[in-house]
Amino acid sequence: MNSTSSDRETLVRASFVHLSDEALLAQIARGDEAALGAFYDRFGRIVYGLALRVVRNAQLAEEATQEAFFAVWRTADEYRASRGSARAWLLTIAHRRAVDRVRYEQRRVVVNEPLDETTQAQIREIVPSAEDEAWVVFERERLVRALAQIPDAERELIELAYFDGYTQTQLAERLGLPLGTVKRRTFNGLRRLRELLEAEG
Amino acid sequence: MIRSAAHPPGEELMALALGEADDAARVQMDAHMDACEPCRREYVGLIETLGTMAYAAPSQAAPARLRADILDAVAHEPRTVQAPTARAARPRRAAWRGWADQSVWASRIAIGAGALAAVALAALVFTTGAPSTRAIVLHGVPGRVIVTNQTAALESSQFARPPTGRVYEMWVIHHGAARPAGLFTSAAGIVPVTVPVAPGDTVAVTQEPAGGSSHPTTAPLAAAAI
Repeated sequence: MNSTSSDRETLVRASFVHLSDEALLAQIARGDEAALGAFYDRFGRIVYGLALRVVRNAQLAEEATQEAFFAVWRTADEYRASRGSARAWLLTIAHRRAVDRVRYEQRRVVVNEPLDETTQAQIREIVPSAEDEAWVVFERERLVRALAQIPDAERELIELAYFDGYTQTQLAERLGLPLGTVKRRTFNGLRRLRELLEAEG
Repeated sequence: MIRSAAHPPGEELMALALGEADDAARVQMDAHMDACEPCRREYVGLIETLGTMAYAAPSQAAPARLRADILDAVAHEPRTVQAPTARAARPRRAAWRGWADQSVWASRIAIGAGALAAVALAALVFTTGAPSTRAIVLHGVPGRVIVTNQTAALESSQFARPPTGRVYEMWVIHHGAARPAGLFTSAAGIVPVTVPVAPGDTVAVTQEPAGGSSHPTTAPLAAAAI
């Protein structure tokens, strides 16, 4: 290990610590690669974890993560604060990249397959919260508490739509419910979840 | 001022947040939100809530090399890709032979030969130093094909909406045989190529009847050599 380059990297990383997510994104939009690295350090685990949950395959999750940060690099200047936080913007991109991978012809195969061995091994190796920043743990606990207060039927729809990438039409077919009912329940669930999360602060 | 009748229903904003809205609806809602604070607030609430949902997945350290791969890839990624001006080299007819016998294909192939050489050159440029992700310039329609190992995705926002009853179909041409590789109605963002790609393959796009075809029936609109 070269201590000089390591020290330099530590200094570069430290210089971004005080920046908000939005300020970091603005730096990325100016073509600052180190800022992208810092953005990855901040959200890489969440993006990869989300991708892995959606695509259920370590290789595909890596690719979706890579695509997401690649898209951040290319489109950071299109981010508009009026359309939500930088975090929500990133996670929207990341979610879409992952869902796109399972929404086409192969989606049923991929989604219904058990997790591959590499993925299972990776999951076994997780140290659940030791490496997570306090904020991630806080967010997860806040979410778990809020989700627990949502009616099962609404929670199930939100999870199927978000984590399994089912469209509302597919959910209606799969569950044998009218499309309007699926849409209304999912929407009501999300609205309820939002209120609960806001109340939790 | 937007009248309340013009507000998209919350369920439609949700479809937008979940990436399900079609392009026409997306553009319409986006324009509406530019002028409508309540709808914008509703949408922001939805994507913030969905963003929080990501924390329900167990957060996972990705392989350590992924960070380096990403930074490596962007280091070689110009923010604006310009079409390269390469001299035509040997046309890569072999990759196209046998795809279709129609004369329309033959003429397109002749015209496209130089461009394919340019595409190959562009691939070389983008590949240098970034072995895991390559951005290959798409010929015919502005855009690119992003290749990561054996997977590829088409990225372009320049495909016009096809006529009613028609779709765009992607193909991976491998040793002269075309395999269907996914459908889209207009590419705003990234469309995954649904079959694996290998060096020497060509990714091409045609317009086909809704539902897609098992083999290309029209002239290619765009192509990129992997």
